Amino acid sequence: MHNRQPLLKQNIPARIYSLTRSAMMLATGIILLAACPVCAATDQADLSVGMKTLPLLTTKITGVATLAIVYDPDNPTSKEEADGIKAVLDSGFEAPGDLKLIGALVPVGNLGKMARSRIAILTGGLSAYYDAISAAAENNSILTMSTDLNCVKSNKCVLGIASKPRVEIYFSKAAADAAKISFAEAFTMLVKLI
Amino acid sequence: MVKIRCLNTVSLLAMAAELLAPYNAQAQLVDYGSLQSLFGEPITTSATGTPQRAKEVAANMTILTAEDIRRSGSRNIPEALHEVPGIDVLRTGVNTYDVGVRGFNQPNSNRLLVLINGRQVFFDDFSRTDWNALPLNIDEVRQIEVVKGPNAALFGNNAVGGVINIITYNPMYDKVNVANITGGTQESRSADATVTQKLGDWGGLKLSAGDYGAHAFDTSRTSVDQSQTADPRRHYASADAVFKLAPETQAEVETTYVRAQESGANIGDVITFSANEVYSFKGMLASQTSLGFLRATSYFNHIHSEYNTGLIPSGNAIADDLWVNQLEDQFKLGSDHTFRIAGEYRTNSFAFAALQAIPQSPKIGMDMASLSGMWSWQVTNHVSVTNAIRIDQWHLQQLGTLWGGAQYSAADYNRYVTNLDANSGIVWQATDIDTLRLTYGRGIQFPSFFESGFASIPVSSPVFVNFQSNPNLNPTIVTNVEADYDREVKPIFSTVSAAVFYQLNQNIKGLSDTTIPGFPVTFTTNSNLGDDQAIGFEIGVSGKKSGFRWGLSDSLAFVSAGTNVEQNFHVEQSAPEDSLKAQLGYSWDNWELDGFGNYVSKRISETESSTTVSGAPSLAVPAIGYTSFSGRVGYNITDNFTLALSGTDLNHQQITTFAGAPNIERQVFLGLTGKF
Repeated sequence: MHNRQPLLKQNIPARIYSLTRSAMMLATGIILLAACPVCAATDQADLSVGMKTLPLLTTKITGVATLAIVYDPDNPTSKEEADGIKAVLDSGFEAPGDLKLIGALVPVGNLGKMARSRIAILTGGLSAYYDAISAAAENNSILTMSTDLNCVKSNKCVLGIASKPRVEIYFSKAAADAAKISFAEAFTMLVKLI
Repeated sequence: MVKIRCLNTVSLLAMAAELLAPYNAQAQLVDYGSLQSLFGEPITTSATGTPQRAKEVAANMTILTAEDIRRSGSRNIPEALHEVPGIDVLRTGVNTYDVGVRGFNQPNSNRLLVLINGRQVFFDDFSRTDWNALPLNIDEVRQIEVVKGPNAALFGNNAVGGVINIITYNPMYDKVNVANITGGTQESRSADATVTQKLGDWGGLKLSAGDYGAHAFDTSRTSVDQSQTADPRRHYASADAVFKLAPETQAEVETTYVRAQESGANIGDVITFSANEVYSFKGMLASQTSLGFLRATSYFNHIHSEYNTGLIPSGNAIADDLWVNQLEDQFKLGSDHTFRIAGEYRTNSFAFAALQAIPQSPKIGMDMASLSGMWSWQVTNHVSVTNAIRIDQWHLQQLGTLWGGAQYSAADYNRYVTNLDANSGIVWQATDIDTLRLTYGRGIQFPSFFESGFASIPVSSPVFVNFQSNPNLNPTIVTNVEADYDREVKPIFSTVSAAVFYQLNQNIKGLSDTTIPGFPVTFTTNSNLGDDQAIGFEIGVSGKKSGFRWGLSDSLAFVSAGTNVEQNFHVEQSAPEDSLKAQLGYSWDNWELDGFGNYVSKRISETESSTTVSGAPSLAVPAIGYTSFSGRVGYNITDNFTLALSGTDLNHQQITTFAGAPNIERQVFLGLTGKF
């Protein structure tokens, strides 16, 4: 898996490789959009919405906290999305209350790094790893969230986030219970329960 | 390399901080600020009792935010409500207001339930709200939730014309340290302060206090009215403490005190001096359990109300003790069904304050037991249906000895009435920008002490010697159906709202001359006069962008009443049939500039009608409607201090707006607000 890209690059001329890669990415994007209408790359608005759920946790997170950004290093879209999230966090992202968030990139192949976090945001393109991510989150009581609503609908993420056209939060009680995470009752009244 | 080293250092620091960071267990009351920030719109519990996004409620609701209130320059709640479409604010004194909804408004307006954080501040003695006697600082108000139409299935008695629930900042979640001093014309002066203090992880405390005084409007009145004119005053203090007893359990204790006096128009349009001393205690316990969100609330209001006209001698202060106990459970079944079940028991006793020390002195009790249920079903992603019912059993009872000479027997004062409130609504979010609501509401307005209990109290005035209230009075039943439509118009950053409604009021209660078989004297009493109905339409647009905020609305409400109702109660055109409101604001750098204009068509007061209780001569009234302008200019001196110049009725030195009330004079204020 990890060697696929270098092998391709070695055997195919650079220009053809580049065109092929672009075409594949475009095709992948089209397929993703067609197959997964609920998926959308996490942008700053989504991140902001996700972080605004934190004051509504029953066990509030305060002080300095690490936000795990889980991505697939073999998936350029996922990597790009993760870098984008990290860049937003590094550029003075204003977390609610007195919380200070530090972004940490966590390759999906090294989920042990999630243990240091209390919150994890999943990029797109991780559906094959939901079980592993969910297990890591449960073991460490980590709040998981994603803009890929399939993650929360399959009870692998606690929160599904949509900031457009209006804010919607999807909540998997099963995933939350498994990770020993709970939210204020008022919050659960306002979200879409899975 | 440097970058990597820095990152490593930061990561190490973060790890260390994480290990040391406390994890605060947070209790579970509604954190309005965090939820509003998350969803980008206000959150309310005033439609169903459960938290909802403002755009999703199955009710016609307007929410005034703290920013709206501040920018309006309002110094009190009625002035802030002035900007809400369909709300009529009748001013009959410097700080005396009556607030009506959709075509009904009179002195002592009795169709609107007013609460602060769910605690009733409406007076049950005459069914009225003394807006001058609200124990709060306008700067501690997070939002004002205005529901038009009956919402009695949630709030019960008197939530028939509408509900106003004033939400203040919660010291558990909000940090608010604010002080204001204001001075102005009519020798107005006020000072208010609110401070909050977090008590570690386990609680928060809020203290608030203020004082207000002014000189009464002194334009021409009758000599009788002049005798009851007094300068408005108010001072209040409140304390609110919220504690976390366990990670998922929260308790609140609150106490308030207010003493207020003012003069304004009363029934019959006679000027009345009113002095009210009110104190309250409230306790609440809430817990998130496996059975849902459980909450028990108990509060006690004591009202000592002196209420004098030139026709009733002084010394007739009424003492009203209201004790309300509520228990509720909110829970969800599956993802689409939200329920709320609740029970309430309230005791309410009334007596003349001067007679309370006498053993077996006459008192009237009005108790009520209620059960209610609400079911909200998210049928699809775009359609929700909400149904709620409430059963109230009202118990009128005579306590102590019946006063000699009363026309009714003790048996008449021992009476049970059971009735049903209901609310139902469908909300269809047709598109991302279009929302349609169809709602039905049925609310019950039980008789007030004045209407059903006053008979046992002797009244020695020669004018009212034959007055008797009526223990056999039936409740007024208000039925409202309406359709509302909201559309976001994104190119102009605005929302257009329209509503059409029909309202039927059955068993209207009012004063009339009556005879009882076998009783020799004709006397004035309350009776069920008949029915009236209203039909109306509201349309408005509001929005904000790049420092600008704007709003334009027109509200039409036409009331028609049966002959008996109109002759005795004068409801047709008691509020303006047409009200056009416009507001425009702009902020730049350190400046804020806001203006508000309101045209209202003529209102016809009781004094202008052929029959008056007081017999007072008619006063000059406007032949047509009138327009008034108010405004505010604010300058942020620093991040902490704001200086604001504001004014009301700026386009008139003085204007007659209502027969039976003094002319309303132009007022200008200069205030300094500090936030820390």
